[in-house]
Amino acid sequence: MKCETTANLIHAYLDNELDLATALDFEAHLQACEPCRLQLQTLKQLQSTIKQAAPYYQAPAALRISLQQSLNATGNEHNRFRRRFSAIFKPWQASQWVTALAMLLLAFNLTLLFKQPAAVNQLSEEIVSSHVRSLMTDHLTDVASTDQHTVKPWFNGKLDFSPPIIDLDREGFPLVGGRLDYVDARPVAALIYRRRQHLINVFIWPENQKDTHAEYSDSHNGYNLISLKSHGMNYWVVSDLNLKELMALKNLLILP
Amino acid sequence: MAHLDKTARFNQVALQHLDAAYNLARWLTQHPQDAEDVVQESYLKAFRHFDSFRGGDGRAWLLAIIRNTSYTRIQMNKKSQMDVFDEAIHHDQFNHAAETNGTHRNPEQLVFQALDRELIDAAIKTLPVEFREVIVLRELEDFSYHEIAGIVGIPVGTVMSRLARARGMLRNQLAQHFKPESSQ
Repeated sequence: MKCETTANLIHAYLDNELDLATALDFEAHLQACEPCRLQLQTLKQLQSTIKQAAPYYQAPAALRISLQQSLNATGNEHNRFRRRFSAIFKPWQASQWVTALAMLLLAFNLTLLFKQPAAVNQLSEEIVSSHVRSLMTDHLTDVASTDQHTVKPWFNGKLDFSPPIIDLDREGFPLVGGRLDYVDARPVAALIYRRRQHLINVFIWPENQKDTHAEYSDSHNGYNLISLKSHGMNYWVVSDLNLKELMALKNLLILP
Repeated sequence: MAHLDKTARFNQVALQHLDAAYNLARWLTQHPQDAEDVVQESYLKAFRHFDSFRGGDGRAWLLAIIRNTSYTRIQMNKKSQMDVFDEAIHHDQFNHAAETNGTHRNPEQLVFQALDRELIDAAIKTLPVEFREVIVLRELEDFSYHEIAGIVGIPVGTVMSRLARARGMLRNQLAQHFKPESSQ
């Protein structure tokens, strides 16, 4: 890679937007080129300065309260209108909803539209707690390795199942390690992946007939989670990473 | 019953991002009152369009609405102003000053010490709005190029080039305040 190319890619590199092959080429060039290395250094410092020193304006408390009030008012109006509407067009509306619902279920195969049962809500809170706890203590991993061939055998003898572990480094989700955890009254595997500065816990345990919920995504205290079943396993993916990228990880995990 | 679900879901998706929404509106309109108005307007729009929100990143969805509403507000404000602040000229003057200082000419390592919030605040404020926008979305909100492209409505390549220019402008401005570290 030449300096000219490096100069064009430097921002994408800084922002972790380069694919692995290009990033490696970039780093190789930097090892041999001091001016480019200095340029990156300066850019990194600028970025960290901006991140640390730029004001992040928080919404005034009065705004939050006033918003909640006006949203409730709009909601009430909305609801009153719908009730009047449905009273007049009742039979037609019912059959329309049934068709729409059936189509929606076929198309998405999700039950996201329905309110989740209390048990699932409780479990998702437990999952978030486990995630946060793992970040707070020195106990993020029991086995720290980016290699699935090291992490997977570590679980042998510690769990009554073998957790599927895949390498997602090329897709931008490097493996950090594995940990034994305890969720929903049973020992489970926790795999830790990373996306930029965000850590992601993936809890895995065998599927149980009594777990009746289908794919589900939620958010608790700013943490996003996705839960689903695949290949006979329950997966719970939790992180402060945004939901879109978390979904991308989820899709990669259930591929093979 | 359906209404309760919708409000509860909306609150969960949108209200948790109120600070991000206000922050973006504030940076774009550069005025606290305008920012509040933009947020109010945007949230009502978002609530009305919530049925078409199919899940995914609520923050990105909401900030796209905030962004558009902010731009409309900026246009409205411009029309009612008698003298428009010509950012292009102002910006060039800053650049010129930086050039004569000669502190940014070559890739010397510039050491930015622990900085005044006011200094950074002022520097970002001098950026034209489309450059301010990408800096806020990237550095303060941590969005990917792809997400920024979606929120702003530009190609990913343009996100990268705007970010590069914005960072260059900021570097030039801030460089006036810092001595280059001697590489000897």
